[in-house]
Amino acid sequence: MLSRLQQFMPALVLALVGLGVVIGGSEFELGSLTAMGPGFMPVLLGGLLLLLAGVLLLLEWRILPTGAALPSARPLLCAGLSIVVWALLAERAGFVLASVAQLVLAYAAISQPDWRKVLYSSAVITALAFIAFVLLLGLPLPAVGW
Amino acid sequence: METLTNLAMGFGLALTPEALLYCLLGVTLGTVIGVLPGIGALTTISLCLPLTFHLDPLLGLIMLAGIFYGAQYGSSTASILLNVPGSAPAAVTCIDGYPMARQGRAGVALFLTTIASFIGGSFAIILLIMFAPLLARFAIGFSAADYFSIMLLALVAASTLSVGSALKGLCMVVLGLILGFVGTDINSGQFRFTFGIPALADGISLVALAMGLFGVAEILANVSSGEMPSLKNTRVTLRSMLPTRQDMQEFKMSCARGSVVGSFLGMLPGTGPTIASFLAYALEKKLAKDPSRFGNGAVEGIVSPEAANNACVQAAFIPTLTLGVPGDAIMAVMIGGLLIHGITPGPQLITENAGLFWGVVASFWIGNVLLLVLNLPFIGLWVKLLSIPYRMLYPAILLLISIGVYSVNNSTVDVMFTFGFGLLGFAFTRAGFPSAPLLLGFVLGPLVEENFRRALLLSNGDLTTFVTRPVSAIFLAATLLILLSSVLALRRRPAVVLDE
Repeated sequence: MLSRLQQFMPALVLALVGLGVVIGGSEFELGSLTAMGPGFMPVLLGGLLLLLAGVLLLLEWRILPTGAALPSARPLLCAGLSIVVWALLAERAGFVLASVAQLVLAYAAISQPDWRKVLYSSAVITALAFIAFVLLLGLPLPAVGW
Repeated sequence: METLTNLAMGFGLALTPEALLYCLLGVTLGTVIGVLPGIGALTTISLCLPLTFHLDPLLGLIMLAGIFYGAQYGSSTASILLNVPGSAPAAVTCIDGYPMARQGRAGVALFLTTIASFIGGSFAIILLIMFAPLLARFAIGFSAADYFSIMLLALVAASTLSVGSALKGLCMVVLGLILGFVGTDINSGQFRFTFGIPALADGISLVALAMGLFGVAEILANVSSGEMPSLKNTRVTLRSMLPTRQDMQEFKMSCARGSVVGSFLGMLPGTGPTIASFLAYALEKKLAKDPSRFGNGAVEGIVSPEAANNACVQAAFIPTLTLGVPGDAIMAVMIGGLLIHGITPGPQLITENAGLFWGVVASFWIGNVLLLVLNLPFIGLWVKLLSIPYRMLYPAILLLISIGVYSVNNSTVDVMFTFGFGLLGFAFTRAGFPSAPLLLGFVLGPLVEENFRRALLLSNGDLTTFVTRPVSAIFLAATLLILLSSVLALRRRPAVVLDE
C-alpha cells in the first residue's frame, strides 16, 4: 500500500496542483479569445496539467509498484534544512553565525563526520566567503547581528 | 564582407582586457565544475547570474557562456578517470573513456577529447557566424503566431525528447508554465497566485528556482545515495597524452561526424548536448566495421560524442540569440540574464545590439582557444582537483547557493523557496520526472502567454491564425509529429511489471 502511494504521489500532487490552478484561476476574469483576462491561461493550463496527470495516473495503475526504498532522512534533513537555517539567521544573527551554522549542519548529513575537521573547514569557508561576498562584493549583511 | 567587418568589431570588443578576464574566468570556472562530478553547469551559471547584474551585458554573457562550454570540456575528465560523468552529456564518454584509462591510456583519451571538443566547438562557431544573421533577417517577419508555435515546439520537444517518459516531461513543462504565472499579470496588473506573500509580487525568482531544482536537488540526491566519488593516486603527464598514428586515424572522421551531428542538433529547439552526444555515439557504433570494440576503449566512442556535445552547445546559441527561443534549460537561464538587463533576444538583437552579438561570438572562439591551453598543459591540475572528496565540497556549495540566491533580491524568502524547489526537484527526479522542462516552461511561460494573447488579439480571436501562417503551420505540424511519435512509442511499449 505504501509503495503504491509512493508511486502515485507525484502524479497525484500534479493533479491537485492542476485542480488548484483551475479553481484559483477561475476567480479572475476569464475574458474571451480576443481579450483574454488574467484567469484565461491559468485555467487553460491548470486543466491541461490535470488532464496529463490524470492520464499518468491511469498509466501508472498498470505498473506494479517497485517498492523502492525511501531515502534516508538524515542526509536530506541536514543538507536541506541547512539552507533554511542560513535564511533564518543571516539577517538576524549575521553572516558569520548563519554560515557556520549552515556548514556544520550540512556536514552532519554524512554519517560519523570528523567534528574537528568540520569546525576547521566551516571556519575557513566562512572566512573566505565573508571576504569575497561581504567585504569585496558588498553583500548587505552584518558580520554579526543581534 | 559585412560579416567580416562585424566579426572584426566583435574581436575588438572580446579582446579588451576586461572581456578577456571574464572569458578566462568563465571557462576556468566551467572547467572546474565540469571536472568535479556533482556540480552542474546550470547550478554554476545560476550562481553567477546575480554577479552579472552589475556587469556590462556583454561581459556577463561572455562569462556565463564560458562556464557553459567550459563545463563540456572539463566533464570528460571525470568520465575517463573515475567512470563518473562530470555532467550528463559526458555520461557516454565513460563507456569507452574509462576502459582506455584502465588500459593505461587515460592521457591519450584526455588529449583526444580536448582536441575533439575544440574542433566541434570551432565548427559550430563558424556555422553560428554564417547562419545566425541569415536566420535573424528571415525571422524579422515572424508574427506573434509564429513565435507562439516555435516556442510550443521548443517546449514539446524539450519534454518529449529528453531521457525518460514523454508524458512526465510534458507534465513538468506545464508545471513550469504555471509557475511562470505567479506574480503580477502585466496586462491587468492583478496579483496571480501570490498567496499574500509580497516577495512573490515580482514572480518566482529564476535563480531560486534554478538553484533549487538543479543545485540543491543534485546535492540531496548525492548525499542521500552516499555516492561521493573521488580519485586517488592518478597522474597524467604530457608525455602520456601523445596519441599513436592509429589513434589519429580513428580520430579524424569521427570528430568530423560528431561536429556535424552536434551542430545540427544544437540548432534545433528542444534538444541539447546530452542527446547530441548519445546520438553521435550511436552513429559511430553503427558505422564501425567492428562494433565490438565499443565499450572496450574505442577512440571513436569518446571523440565523436565530445565533438558533438561541444558543437551542440555552441550551435544552441543560434536559436537562442536570433529567435529568443532557448533550446534547453541552460539557454533559458542565459535568456533570463539578458532580459534582466532589458535586452530581449530575437531577430533585432543582431542589428540593435550588434556589439553584444558579435562580441559574444568572437569570445566563443577566444574561449575555446583558452580552453585548449587550460586543458592540455594544465591537465595535471584538473586531475588533482578530482581528489577533493565530495563530502568536503557539498556544504560549501550549499552555502554558495544560499548566498547566490540571497544576493539577487536581498531576500531570505527566496532562499527558503530554494529549499522548497530543491525538495521538489529531488522528489520528482527520483520519480522519473525531468526538471529541465520545468525550468524551460518557467522562462518561456510569460513569452508564450504574451504571444498567444497577441496573436489572437490581432486575428480577432480566430484560432486558425496559427495554421494559416506558413511558418506557424510548419512548426505546429512538427510539434504534432513529435507528440504523435511519443504517443506511438508509449503504445508500443509494454506495461512494465516489476518485482515488489
